[in-house]
Amino acid sequence: MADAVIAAIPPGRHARLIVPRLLQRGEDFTARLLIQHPMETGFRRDDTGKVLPANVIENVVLLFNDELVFRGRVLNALSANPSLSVQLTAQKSGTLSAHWRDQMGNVGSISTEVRVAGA
Amino acid sequence: MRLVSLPTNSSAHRATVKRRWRDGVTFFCRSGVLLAGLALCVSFATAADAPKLGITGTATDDAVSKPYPTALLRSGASFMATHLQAQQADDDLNPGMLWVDQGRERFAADCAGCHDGASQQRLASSLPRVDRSGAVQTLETQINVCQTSRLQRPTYPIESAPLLALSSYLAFSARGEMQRLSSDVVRSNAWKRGRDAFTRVQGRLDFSCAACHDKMAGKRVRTQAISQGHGVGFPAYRVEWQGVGSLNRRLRACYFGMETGVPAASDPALLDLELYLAWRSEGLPIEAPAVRR
Repeated sequence: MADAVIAAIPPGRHARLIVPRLLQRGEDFTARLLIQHPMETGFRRDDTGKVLPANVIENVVLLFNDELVFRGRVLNALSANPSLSVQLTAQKSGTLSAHWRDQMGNVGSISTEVRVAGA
Repeated sequence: MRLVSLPTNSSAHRATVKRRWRDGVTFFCRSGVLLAGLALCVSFATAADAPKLGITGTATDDAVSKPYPTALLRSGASFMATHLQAQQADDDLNPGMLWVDQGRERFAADCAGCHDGASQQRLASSLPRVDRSGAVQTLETQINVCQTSRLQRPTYPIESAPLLALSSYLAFSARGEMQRLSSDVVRSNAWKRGRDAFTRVQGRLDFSCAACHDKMAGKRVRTQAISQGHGVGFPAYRVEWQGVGSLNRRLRACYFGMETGVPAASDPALLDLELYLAWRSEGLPIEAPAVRR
């Protein structure tokens, strides 16, 4: 049987957002974000010699219950599949979400629950 | 025979030469038969004794010695820089986990109907295996066997995103399990072909896989440490690839480095080599998805 034709996945579609399982009120914690993205610099060429167009993640924002808690303008200082760590302080339980956009307009997002004991 | 000095043109001389020649031929013939008989005996003896003595190094003997005893096995991670070791050890920083997540979703959708957790956990550590037809089944080919036979779907291309996701997830499921193959694997022709490929001197740089990975592990080639050449971390995230790749891709990169000409990804010789490598690393735990430079 012939091989399946696999559609290319747009960059920045997959990510991991990791927070500690359970937090105490007022506790500082690190939210870790890992995004699957090639972060093309525009300096590389493919096997046929064609220049791979630059495409890096420009903006990353973190929202807690739809309220802005972090905004980063990240450009080509980051490697492929970038990892971001953001220091936050836990006040109440809620939803932490991350959103990003690259130079070609691909957007991605991921969210996770933050659980604070007794709040 | 008496040696006398005689004039070279005398009839006595001609007779002597003739006699010597005849004696010589007779001696040669007789001794030739003797020698041939002796050679025959020796060859019979060699054929009969060789497998028992292990002289020929054939794989008929179960006690084929491995290049590294279990106590001296070291996975590729121990030859990496400390920051790469730390990245591999922390799942939140290990980019290979992005592929594992996608494989987990795909496994739940396609495979969980047949496979339970326990068989899934053992699968990657017991592969590659040699099937009844003598062909090598690796984790990747086994996934494609399921695709065609159980799911009635076309196979995934080698190094395609869904195949890498599934193989990463299954190898991750077996993390910590010891690599352990069927004990009769050394009697298979695939194993012999794999061993021959590993030990054969090839390429413009004129060395074999074994010349470095069996004999020089821990030393350096240019600036990089030479590993023992175990594949237990694969599918692995390689910094050079900026992504996860299979052992098949890694081996092709090895051939590129050895300047042999790079085999096609579908070349069955690479499967034989994967089988031999897994046998060499029996006793090491699976550590996929590893981070490699």
